[in-house]
Amino acid sequence: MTPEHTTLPPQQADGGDHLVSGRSLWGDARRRIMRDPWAMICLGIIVLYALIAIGGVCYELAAEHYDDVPAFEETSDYDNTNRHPSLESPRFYLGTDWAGKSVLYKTLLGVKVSLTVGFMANIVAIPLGVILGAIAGFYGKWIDTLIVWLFSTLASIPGIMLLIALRYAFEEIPPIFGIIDLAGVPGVCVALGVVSWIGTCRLVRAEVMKIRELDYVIAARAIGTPKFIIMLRHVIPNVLHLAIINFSLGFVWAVKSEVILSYLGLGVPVGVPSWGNMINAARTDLFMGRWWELTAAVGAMFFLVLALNIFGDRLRDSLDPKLRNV
Amino acid sequence: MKWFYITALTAAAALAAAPFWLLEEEDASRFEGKIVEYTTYSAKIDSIDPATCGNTPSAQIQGGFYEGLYTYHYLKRPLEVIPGLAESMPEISADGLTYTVKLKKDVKYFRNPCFGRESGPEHKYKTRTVTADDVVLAYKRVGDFHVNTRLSLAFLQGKILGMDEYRRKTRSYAPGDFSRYEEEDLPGVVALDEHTVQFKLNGVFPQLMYVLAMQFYAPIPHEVISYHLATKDDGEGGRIPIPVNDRTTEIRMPSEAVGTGAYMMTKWVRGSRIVMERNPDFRDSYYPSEGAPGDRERGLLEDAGKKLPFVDVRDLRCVLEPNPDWMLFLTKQKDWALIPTRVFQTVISPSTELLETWQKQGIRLLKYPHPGIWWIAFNLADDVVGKSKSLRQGMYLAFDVEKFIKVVWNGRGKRGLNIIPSMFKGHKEAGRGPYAHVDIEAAKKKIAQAKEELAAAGVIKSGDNIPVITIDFGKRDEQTHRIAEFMMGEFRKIGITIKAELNDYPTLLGKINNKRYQTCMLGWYADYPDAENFLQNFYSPNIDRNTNYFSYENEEFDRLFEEAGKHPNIADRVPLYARMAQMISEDVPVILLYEPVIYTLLMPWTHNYKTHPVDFGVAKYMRIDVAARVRTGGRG
Repeated sequence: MTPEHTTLPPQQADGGDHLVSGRSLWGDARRRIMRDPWAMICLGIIVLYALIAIGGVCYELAAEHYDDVPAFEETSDYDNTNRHPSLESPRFYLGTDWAGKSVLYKTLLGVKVSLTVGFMANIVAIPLGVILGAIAGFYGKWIDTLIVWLFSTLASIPGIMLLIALRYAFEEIPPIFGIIDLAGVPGVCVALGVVSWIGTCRLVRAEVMKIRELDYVIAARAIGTPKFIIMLRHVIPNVLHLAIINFSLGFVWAVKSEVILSYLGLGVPVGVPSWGNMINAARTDLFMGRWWELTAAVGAMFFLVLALNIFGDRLRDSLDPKLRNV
Repeated sequence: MKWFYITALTAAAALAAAPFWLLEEEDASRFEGKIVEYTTYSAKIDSIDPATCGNTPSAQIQGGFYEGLYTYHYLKRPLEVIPGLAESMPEISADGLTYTVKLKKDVKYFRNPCFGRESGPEHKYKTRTVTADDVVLAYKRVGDFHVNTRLSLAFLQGKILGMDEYRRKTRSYAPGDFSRYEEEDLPGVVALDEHTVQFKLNGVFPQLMYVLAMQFYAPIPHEVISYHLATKDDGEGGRIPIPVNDRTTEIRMPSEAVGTGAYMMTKWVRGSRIVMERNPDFRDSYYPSEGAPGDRERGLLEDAGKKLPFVDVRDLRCVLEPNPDWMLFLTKQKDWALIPTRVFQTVISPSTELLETWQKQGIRLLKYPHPGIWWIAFNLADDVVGKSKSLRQGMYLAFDVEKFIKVVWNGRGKRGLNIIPSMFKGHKEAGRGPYAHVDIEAAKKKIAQAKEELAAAGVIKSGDNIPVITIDFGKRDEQTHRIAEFMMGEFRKIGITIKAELNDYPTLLGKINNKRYQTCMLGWYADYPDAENFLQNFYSPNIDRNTNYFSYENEEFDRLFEEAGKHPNIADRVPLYARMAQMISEDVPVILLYEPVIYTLLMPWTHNYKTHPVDFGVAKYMRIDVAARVRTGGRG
C-alpha cells in the first residue's frame, strides 16, 4: 500500500505508537486564515488603519504636551482655503477644506474616530449579546421569555431612530465621573453598542440551546457541576467564534453608523475630525465642484469597510466547521 | 368561514387604502388661478400668539395676520410711524403721560367660528369689527401672570399705569379662570368708548409710539378666549366648557389665530409648512404713493395707490438648511432667496455686485444693512464666565471678528464696535469698545488674571487651567458647524477649550429662558429704531423677563437706563445711551460680532420687494407676476 492511498494519518500508517496532538478549532482557523491571501491582504489593510489610528493618538498627545506641535484645530490657513489636490506639499495632496486645513491629515485623523467607535461599540455590544444570549438559551423558561421580549421589543424599533433617540437622551446627561461625556464620542459608542447587540444575542441563544443538549453538557450535569459553571466553562467557549465573527461584522456597521450620525449632526462633536463630519461638511461643497473632501472620506471608509467585510467573511468560513468543505 | 376571509380581506384592503382618503389633499387645485407666493422660513416657529411672541422667526410669521395700532411706512427711510389700526396719530397730553388713540371703524377680524354663523344660504362664519375693548384685552393678556409673555411684557412693565399691580392680581386666579379679564382692571389701558383707547403711563415713555407699532399688542377678540380657550366641541355641533384646570392660556392653533391682517393662517404643519390666504374682509388699504429717494427708479412706486394685498396665497415651507433653500430658488420654486455662504463667490463679484450670469436671468440683488447685532453671550450667573470679567475680556481680545466676518460670512457684515448698532443714534458717541480689537498678548495676560480670579473665587484650584467652556448654538446646519469650529480655533490661541453644543432654535431659547447655558451665540434685531431697544437687554429688572438673559446687573447702568426713559427728546438721551454702551463694552457680558448686511436675490417676477428693518407685516406689499413666472419655467 503506497502512502498516498492510506486513509490513516502518517504516524499510524508507519506503525509508530506515539500520539500527535490534533489541531484545535482556533489553531485550525488560524492556519486556514493565514493560507488565504485575500484574508491576509485585508488583515494588512486593517492593521495599517490601526497603525494610522495609533499614530493619530500619538500626534494628539504630542500636540497636547509640546508647544511646537500644533493641534489639528490650529492648522487653519485661511489663505489656502478650498485648494484643489496638488503635489505641491503633502498637506495639499488631497486638497484643503473651507478653513484651509489639510484634507489628507483630516482623513488620517478620522481613522482614529472610526476605529474607536467601531471597536468600543462592539466592546459594548458583543459581551452584552453573548451573555444575554447564553443566559436565555441555557436557562430557558421565564428568563428566556424575558430576554426574548427585551430584544424583540428593541428590534421592533427602527435602529436609526433608536440611535437618534439615545443620542438626544445622552445630550442631557452630565459627564460620568466628570470624565466620560456621553454627549461626545463615548455616547456614540454606547448608543451604537446598545442598538447592535440583538443580532449576536439571537445567534448565541440559538447556538446555546443546541449545545446545552449535547452529551458533554449532559455529562457535566450528571456529575453535579453547577449550571453556572457549565455555562461558563463548557457552553460559552463553544460560541465564542460567533462573537468574533459578529465583532468583525459589527465593526463595519458601527463605522458606517458613526458616519450617518455625524452626517445628521448627532455624531462626534464639532471640531473632531471624523469621516462623518467630513461628509457632512463636504456635501454642500459639491455645488461648487469641490469633490476632494467627500472623496477622501468616502474612499477611506470604502477600503476599511471592504477589508473588514472580506476579513469577517473569511473568519466565519474558518471558524465554522460546517463551511470547511464548501 | 368564507365570510370571515372576505371580511378580513376587505378590512385589510380598506386599511391599506385609508391614507388615500384620510390624508389631506394637496392644495394645488384649491390655489388654481390664484396668485401664490412661494417662500420659506428657516427656523421652527414656537408661537402664533401675539402676546407670547418672543423671537424673530415667530414674529415674521405673525406679521402676516396680526397688526398693531400703528405701523411703519413701507418705503420711507428713516423710518416713519404711521397709523395702522388707529385712525390717526394719538393725542398726547401736555405732560406726555396720556395717549388717546382712536381706532379705525372698518377693521374686521377674520371670519371665525368664535363669532358664530351667518343665517344666509352660504352659512358663512361671522366676523365683527375691532373695538377698544379688544385692545384692552390684548394688553391685559400681556400683563397676565398666567400667559407666558416675556418680551411683550418687558417693553411695558413699569411703564403702563397699574400693569405691575394687574399682573400681581392675576396671579391669584387659576390659569384657566379667564374671569380675571372681566374682574380686574388695568388702569393704564382703558376703553373710553367703542373705538377709543386711552393709555396712561407711570412716567414719560419716549418709545411708546414704537411699542404701539408692534404686533405683540394686536387686539384680541374676547370670543377667542370664551370660544377657543374656554370651551370645546361637544361632538353634536355645540360647545361644552373645558374644565378650568385643563385650559390653556395661549393661542396655539391656526383656527384660534384671529387677526385683522391681510392674510389668514389656514394651515400650520409644525416644523414643515404654513399657508396663509388672503383675508377677504381686509379693510381698504393702499400701496404708498411716496417713498425714499431712489425708490421710484427701482420701480417701487409702480403700484402706488393700488389696493392691497397683491398676492392671494402665501405658501411657506420650513427649510432649516441653506442649501435645500438655495436649490428651491435655483429651480424657480421660490420667489426670493438669501445666498448661502458656500455659493456666495459664484453669485457675487469681489466688488460685491451680482455676477453677470445671474443678471442675464433677470435676477436682482438687494443689499441692506440690518439693524441688528450678533454676539457671543455670557451667562453671568455661571460660575466660570460670570465670576471673571478678565476671562470675558481676554476672550474678546482673542477673537478676530474681522476674520470671522470675512471667512464665515463672506464679508457680509460690519464689526460691532459697541452694543448700539451703527445706524442708531448713540453708536458714534459710545465709540469703539476697549476690547473690540485683536491682541493675543493682552488676551493671554487677561486669561492669567482670570485664573487668579477664579482660584480666588474657589471655582478652580490655583494653577489649574480654565475649565472647558460650552457655547450653545441655535442651529445644526453646516454653517453653524463652521462658526463653531472657527470659534474653537480662536479661543484655543489663548488656551481655552470650547465645547460646541448644536441645538435647534426652540431648544436654545428654552436653555436661555431657563438660564441653562454658559455662553451662546445669538443676536438682537431691532424691534424699533431706538438704541433703548438694545440697552434694555442689560437692564437688571429684565432678568426675570428673560430679555436680560445675560443676568447682567449694574446699578449705575440701571440708573442711567431709568434716567434716559425720562427724556422725551432723543438728543438728551444720546449721552446717556453712550455711557451705558461704554459700560457694556467694559463689563463684556457679550462679545460683539457683527452687524449683518443682508444680500437678497429676487426673481424677475417679484415686485415691490423692499426689506423693512423692523416691520414684519410687509408681505402684503409684494406683487408676483405669475404669468412671467410660468413663462420662465417657474410654478403656476
